Amino acid sequence: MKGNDFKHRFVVSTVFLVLAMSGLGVRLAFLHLGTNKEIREDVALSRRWEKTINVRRGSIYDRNGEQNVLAMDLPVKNICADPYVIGKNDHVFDTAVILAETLDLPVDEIAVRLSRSNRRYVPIKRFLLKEEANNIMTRNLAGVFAEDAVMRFYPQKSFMCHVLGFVNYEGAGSAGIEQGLDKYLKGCPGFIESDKNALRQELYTRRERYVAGVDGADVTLTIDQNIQYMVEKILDELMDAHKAKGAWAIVERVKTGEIIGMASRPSFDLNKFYETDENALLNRTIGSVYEPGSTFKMVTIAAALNEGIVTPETIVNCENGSWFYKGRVLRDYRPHGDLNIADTLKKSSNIGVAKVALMLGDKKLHEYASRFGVGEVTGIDLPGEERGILKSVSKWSGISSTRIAIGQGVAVTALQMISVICSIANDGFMMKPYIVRAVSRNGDGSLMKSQPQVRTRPVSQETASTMRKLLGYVTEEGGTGKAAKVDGYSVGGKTGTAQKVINGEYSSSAYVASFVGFLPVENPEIAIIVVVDEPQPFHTGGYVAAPAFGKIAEHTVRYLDIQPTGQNIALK
Amino acid sequence: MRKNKKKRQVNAFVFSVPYAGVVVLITTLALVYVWLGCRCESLGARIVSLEGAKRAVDDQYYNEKCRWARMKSPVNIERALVKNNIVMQVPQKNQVVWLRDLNLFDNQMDVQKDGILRFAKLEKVVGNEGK
Repeated sequence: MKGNDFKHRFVVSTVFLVLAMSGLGVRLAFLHLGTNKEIREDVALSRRWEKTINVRRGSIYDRNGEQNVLAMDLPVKNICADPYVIGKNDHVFDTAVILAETLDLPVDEIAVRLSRSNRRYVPIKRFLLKEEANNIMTRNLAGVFAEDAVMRFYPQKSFMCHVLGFVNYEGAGSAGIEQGLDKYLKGCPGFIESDKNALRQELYTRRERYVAGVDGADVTLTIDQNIQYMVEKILDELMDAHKAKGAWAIVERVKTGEIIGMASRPSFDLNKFYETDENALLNRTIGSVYEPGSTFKMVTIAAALNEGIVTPETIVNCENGSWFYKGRVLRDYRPHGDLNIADTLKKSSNIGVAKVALMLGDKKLHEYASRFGVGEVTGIDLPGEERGILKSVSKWSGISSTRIAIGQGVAVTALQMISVICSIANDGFMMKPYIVRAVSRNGDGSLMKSQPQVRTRPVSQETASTMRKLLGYVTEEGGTGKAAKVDGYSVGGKTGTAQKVINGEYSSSAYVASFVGFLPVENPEIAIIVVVDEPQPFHTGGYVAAPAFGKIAEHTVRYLDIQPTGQNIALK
Repeated sequence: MRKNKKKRQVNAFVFSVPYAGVVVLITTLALVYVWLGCRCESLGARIVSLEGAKRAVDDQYYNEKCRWARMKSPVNIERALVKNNIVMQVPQKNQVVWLRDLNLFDNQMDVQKDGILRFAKLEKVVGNEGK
């Protein structure tokens, strides 16, 4: 009996096992040999492992290259918490107090976040420097952890803020160089396609695709950090001294068009761009148009000289300060009788220049203004450049030329005005202004290298040479711009005081004061423009902007080692 | 004698040499495959750990670079000068002597149109850069 039982059980078990194995075998064959596309895809998908390889955004340097970093990607930490763990240990309030004290955040806000115990992840504070994050992590708080992140960091905070611009939370350049050169700076992220194991770790042997990321290229600017610092400091002093609404300045190399300093006020902290109001974000040097006032007279006089209509000795009657033309009165700041062209410019006579414009004619005045680039962008490698306003001749009234000639009814940017004076200082050649010196990756090879480029030549060499002399008189005794003088250097330039248009009318209390000039007159190297918006209580270009020009120029010529006028050279 | 003969007839399974060879080969291949798999795993883990180390070193480098940039900024240098009571002034015109080095090459000099030598060095001279 026992033998039979055993045999019976053995047979049953065997049959059962064979059936089971056959079933599994059939299922296995069905899965592997059949066309179970959906199942196969589901399995493959659940095992898929994809990862984007983030790349570093390029750095931005001043003209001296890697020595002076202006913008860079910085590894930082984000402090996060696991409310589930904190809630389970009943540490919500204690943890919130410690986090609030260390991170300078409101306790109640953190407590609310930590009390969401159904969540496993809440961010507490983003972008902390390593040392700051360590202060928290050394407390060993249960449920609090730090994750790696990268932030765009500007080591010098508000320094050069309008030129550099900033990067938004999505990592895209949103202003300045960050926006203008985003395609070079952002690089190209790489990616990995592979399978993962049950622990969600990559199975290296199953890696199907690996595309290496390319780091962003580094940008070297033409701006010199030290000149920029001086310009910004002087503008800050100017804003304080004159309680101005805004102030901006540019320093440009006359012969090449390189911008070596560019600043705008008010400024903002680049690391906290999101806390800044729109007004401060505007780069006024290229984004703010204003009526140039008397600084535009050099365009009119240069045009008339170039056309041979006047010479520096031509006498113009300045009507003792008040002149009626086509039923409208035009006044001078101070009354003058007969003045030659040189003195007309030196003393900035509105009437004298308006009469020259009438001699020149509407078409020619418009043509020369266009030739000098008014109403057109200069093409600088910064986003947000304004064109300025120059109406076509057909829209001019009978008195338009007399007003445009003295800088009313025409609007420019500071960059356009400095380009005008640079072309006069550079034998009539107008260079294209540029602010990016080179773009390179990993220091080897250049993706882009800027070269000086001639845009146009509005006036002849002779006219430019004459204009340089005439503009040199402006800073001499009796000229409106004598405050722009620099000890040891001859300075040429022009003051400008323009009434602002408020609600369609010229204001009697709001002015734009400016000074644009170059030095040395004999062989110009640098040009500088300073514009001040609504200075109080004094508002003339000669009083407000010219001294700031002088200060910037003095520092710049010394820093750049430009030889003083008439200085002898000793032989070694 | 008969008894001894019976003892020799042992009913045993004997591998033939070719069959044993095939088994050994397959076993070896399987072991090599497992060994290579393990090796790949360990290399992969090593790569990941080295990548982590590189990232840490990179992070450190960029943190230092940032710290250095902040320290070298003009505003910080000025602050340091004030802190240490150091006053720096630009020399006056009569304190500056311009020298011409006669041994300089021609292209290191900038000659004005009227023939007067203006600069006798390249560095920092705004008009001479890039010559």
